[in-house]
Amino acid sequence: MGISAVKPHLAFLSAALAIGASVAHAQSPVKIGLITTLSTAGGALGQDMRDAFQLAAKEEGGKLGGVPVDLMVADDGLNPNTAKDIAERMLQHDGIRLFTGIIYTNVTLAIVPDLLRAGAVVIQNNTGPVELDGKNCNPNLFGSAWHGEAPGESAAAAANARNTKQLMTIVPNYTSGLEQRGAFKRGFKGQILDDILVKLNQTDYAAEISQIKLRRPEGIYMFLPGGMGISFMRQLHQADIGDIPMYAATTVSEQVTATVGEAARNVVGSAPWTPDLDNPASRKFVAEFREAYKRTPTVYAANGYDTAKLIGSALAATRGDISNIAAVRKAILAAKFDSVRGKFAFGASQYPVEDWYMTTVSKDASGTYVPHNAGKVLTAHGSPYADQCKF
Amino acid sequence: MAAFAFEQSLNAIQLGLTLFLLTAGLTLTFGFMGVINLAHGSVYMIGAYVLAAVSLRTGSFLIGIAAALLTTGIIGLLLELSLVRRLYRRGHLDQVLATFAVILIANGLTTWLFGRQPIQLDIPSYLSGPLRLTADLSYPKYRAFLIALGVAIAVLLHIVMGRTRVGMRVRAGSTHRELVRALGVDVRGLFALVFGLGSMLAGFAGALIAPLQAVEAGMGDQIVILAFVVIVIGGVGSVRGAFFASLMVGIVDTLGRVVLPFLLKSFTAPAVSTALSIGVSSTAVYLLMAAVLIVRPAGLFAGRA
Amino acid sequence: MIRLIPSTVGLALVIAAIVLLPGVATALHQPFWISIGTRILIVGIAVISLDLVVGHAGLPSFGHAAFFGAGGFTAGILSVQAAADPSSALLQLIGSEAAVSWPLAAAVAGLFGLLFGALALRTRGVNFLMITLAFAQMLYFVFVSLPTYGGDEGVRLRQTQHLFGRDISDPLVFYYVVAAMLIGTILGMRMLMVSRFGRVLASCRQNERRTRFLGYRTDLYLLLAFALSAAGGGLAGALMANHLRYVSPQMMSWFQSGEFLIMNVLGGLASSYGGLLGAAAFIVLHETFLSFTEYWEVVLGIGLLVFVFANPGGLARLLADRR
Repeated sequence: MGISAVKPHLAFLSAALAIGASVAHAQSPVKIGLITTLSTAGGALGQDMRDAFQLAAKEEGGKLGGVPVDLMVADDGLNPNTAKDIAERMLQHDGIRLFTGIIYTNVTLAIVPDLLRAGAVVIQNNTGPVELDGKNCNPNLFGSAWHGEAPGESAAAAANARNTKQLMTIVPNYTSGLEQRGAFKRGFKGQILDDILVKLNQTDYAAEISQIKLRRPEGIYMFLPGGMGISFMRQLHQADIGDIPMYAATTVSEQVTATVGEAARNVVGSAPWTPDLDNPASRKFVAEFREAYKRTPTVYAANGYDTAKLIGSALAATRGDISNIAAVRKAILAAKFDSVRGKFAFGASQYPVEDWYMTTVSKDASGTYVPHNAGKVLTAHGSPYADQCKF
Repeated sequence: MAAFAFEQSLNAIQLGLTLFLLTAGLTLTFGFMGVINLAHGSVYMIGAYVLAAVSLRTGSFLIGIAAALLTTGIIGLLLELSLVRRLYRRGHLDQVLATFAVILIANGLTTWLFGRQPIQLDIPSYLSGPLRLTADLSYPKYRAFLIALGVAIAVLLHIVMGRTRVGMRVRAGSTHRELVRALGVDVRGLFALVFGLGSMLAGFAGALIAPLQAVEAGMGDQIVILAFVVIVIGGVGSVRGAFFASLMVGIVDTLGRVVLPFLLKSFTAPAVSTALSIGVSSTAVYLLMAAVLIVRPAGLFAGRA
Repeated sequence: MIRLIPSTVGLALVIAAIVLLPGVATALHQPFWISIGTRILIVGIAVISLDLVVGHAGLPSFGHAAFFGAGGFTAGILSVQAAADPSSALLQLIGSEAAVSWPLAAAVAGLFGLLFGALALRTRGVNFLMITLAFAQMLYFVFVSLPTYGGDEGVRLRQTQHLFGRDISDPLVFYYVVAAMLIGTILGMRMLMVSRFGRVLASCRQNERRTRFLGYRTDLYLLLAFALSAAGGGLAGALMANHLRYVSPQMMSWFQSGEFLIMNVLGGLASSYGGLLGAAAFIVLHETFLSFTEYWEVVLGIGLLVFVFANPGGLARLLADRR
C-alpha cells in the first residue's frame, strides 16, 4: 500500500507553533474536523473513510455543496487521550464547529459528549453507539452510518430470510460483541443451540470449532471483527464442518474475502450498501473511487462519501454560513442529497432509516472471492430506541 | 462424546506444541544470555510475512517455509550482532525498553511495506482439509502436521541439547553462565548461534501458524506475553521446562474454554456462569502461573536445562 | 553532561513552569495547552509512583497500568452509580465527592498492590517482571469482560466529581487541582527518599541480601513500597477518569505499562520529579510524531533505541544532580 498520498494536517505541531487565533469570516472556507483512526491495526477503516471524504471534496474542486471547505484530518491513533487533545485544539484554536470521521466507539464516547457540550455539530459516520441513542440523544448529534445494533439486527434478518432454523453464536466477550449478539437474538426467529464466547483478539479457535462440530448447527452468527474473523474462518475451513452459512453482518468486506479466499465462501454479510448496488450515485462513486485509489470501496468508504455529500447539502442550504447552528441542524436533518444507498432519511433519534441488503460470496472471473448483493433483508430500518428520544 | 474429548485433547496438545516452538528459543536466549527479548514476537511475525510473500510469489509452500527460516535466522544474527550484544551488561529495564523499541519499529516497517490489511496466505492443498481417523473422528490435516512437526522439533532439540557438545555448552551456560565462560568456552560465538537459532525457531513457529491465522502487524505481541508466561512457569533457561510448561498451558487454556463453561452451565444460572467462565478462562493461564510461582518461585524446572 | 544546578533549584524551576503554564498558554492564544498540560501532570503522578518501585527499590514492574486502571474504574463506577441514584446520600458522598472517592480509588489500587505484591515479591528480576505483567493482563481481561460497566467500551462519567462540594470542571480549575496533587506527590517522594524507609529501599536496590543480613525485613519494606506505588497509580487513574470523563480497559493494557516504564527511564530513575519530565517529553514527542506521519511507531521506536544507548541517565539528570 505504501505511504498514503495525502499527509494528515500537521495538527499538533502547527498549532503549537502558531500564534494568534484564526478569525472566521464569510469568505474563508468552512472548516470541518475529521478526527479519525489512520494508524494502528484499526487504521484501514479510517483511511477508507478519509479517502472517500476527500474524493467527494475533490469532485467539486475543494468544495462541498458549492461551498469551499477545509478538511482538517487528524489521526487519533485509536487513543481516546490523543483524540481529546485533538478535539480541544480544533474547538479552541481552529474554531471548528462541525465534526465527523470518528470510527471507534471508545474514542467516540471519550470526545463526542464534550464536543456536543461545546455546541458543535457531530456527524457519526460509523456505528452510532447505543450509549448516545434513545434517551441520550442530542439535537446536535447525527449518525450517518447506522445505529448501534443494526448490524446484529440485519444479520438476524438475513438468517430468517434464508430459513436457518437453528444456529450457534460466537462473539468476543466485550460490550460490542454482547450488544450485537443481543440484537441478533432479538430478531432471529430460529433456535439458538449455544452461545460461544471467546477472548478479545483470540487467535486460536480449535477448541471452539470442535464444539461447533459436535453440535452441528445449520449456521453460525459471528461477530469477529478484523483479524479474529480471518483466523476463525481459516481454521473453520480446515475442520470437517461442511458448508454452513456464517452470518457476519458488516465485518466481512471485499478485502477480507479476497484475503481469506475459499474459506469465506459461506459468509453471508449484511450492509446498507454494497459496491454492486444499482443506482446512479453509487455507480459513479464506485467508479471514481476505483480509479482514484485502485481498490474497491468498502461500506466504510461509502459512509464517508455519503457524509461528505450530506454536509455538502447542508452547506448549500445555509450558503456556507455555519454560525447559526439551528439552521445547520435543520439543513442536515433534511438530508437532501443523492445517497449512494438510494433512499436515506433520519429517524427520530437522528440515526438513519435505511434499507439493508445481504451479501453472499462467490468466485469472480479472476478467481478472487467477492461478496455480491443478494437481495434486501430489511426495509426502512431504524433504531429501536428512536421513540425514546425527546429533544 | 469420546470422539469430542479426544479431539479436544489433540487441540490442547497442538496448542502446546506450537507454543513450545516459540518458547524454546526464547528460554535459551533468556537463560543463556540473560537478555529479555520482547522482540521475539516480531521475529515470529516476520516469519509469517515472509512465508506469505514468498509462497504467493513462487506458488510453493515449502520454498516459503525455507525462506522464512533463512530470513529470520539471518535477522536474528544481525539483531544479535548489532543490538543484543550491547544489552548483555545492561539491566533488564534497558533490555525491555530496547526490545520494546524494536517491536515498534518492526510493526511500523511491516505496515509500511505490506499495508494495514492482513495478507493472503493459503494452506497448500496437500495439507488442507480434514483427516479421517475413524468413522466419527476427523481432525484437520494441517493441525496434525503441526503436531508431528512439534514432536519432531522437540525430539531434535532433546538430542542436540543432550547429546552434542554444543548442546552441552548451551545447557551449562544457560544455568551457569559465568562458570562456562571461566572454563574458556567462546561464549560470544555461542551467543550469536543461540540467538540466531532461537530466532529461526520463532520464525518457523510464525510461518507454521500463519496459514491458520491473520497475518498482520502486531500479531506477535500478544503471543510473546504468553511465551514469557510459559518460560516463567517452566523455569528460565530450561528447554525441558519450556516443553512441559507449554503443554500445561495448552491443556489449561483448552480446558478453560471447553470444560469450564460446560461445567458452570450445568451448575449455575446462565448469566453468572457465562461471566464467570470467561473471566476465569481468559485468566486461567495467569492463575496457573501464579500458582506455580507460589510453590516454586523459580519455575518448575529451574536450574535443570 | 555537566550537572549544573542542585536539585532543589531544578525542582523550583519545574514547579514554576507548572504554575505558569496556563498563563503562558492563554497569552499565546493556545488554551488547549492547558488540557494537554493536565494530561501530562496526571501521567506524571503515575510515573513518579512507578519510580518508587522501579527506581528507588530497583524492581522492574511491568504492571503499573493495572493500578492506574483500577483507580480510574473505581472513580468511574462510583461516579456512575451516584449519577444513577441521586436520592442516596451515601452514594452521593462516595460517588460525586472527590475528597472521598479519590482516596478510595487510591486505596482500592493500593489493595490490589498489596495482593499482587505479596505474590510477585516471592520472585525477583525477570520473574518479577513477568508476574507483574501477567497480573496486569488478568485485570485487563476481567474488566474487558464486565458487561455492566461498559466492558471494552468503558465507562462514561456524566460529570466531573466535586471537590469539597465545589465544582472543579472548569479546565483551569481542574488543572490547578491536579497540579497541587502532583506537587504534593513530588514533595512526598522527596521526604520519603530521605526518610529511613527510603534509605532501606535504596539499600535494597543496591544489594537486597546485604540489607536483609543487616536485619531489615526487606520483603515488608518492598511490599509497602509496592502498595504505595499502586496507590499513587490509582490516584492518577481517578484523576484521568475525571479529565477524560471516560474510563476504558485500555488504561490497563500492557502497552500502557510499557509506556509508563519508558517515561520513567526517560525522565530519570530514582528522581523525585523525573517522572514528570519523562511524561512531558514522551507525550509531546508522541503527539508530534503522530501528526507528522501515520508510521509514527517507527520514529518513536528509533528515538527510544537512541535514547537507551545514549543513556544520559534521564532528563532529570541532565537538569540537576541526583534527587
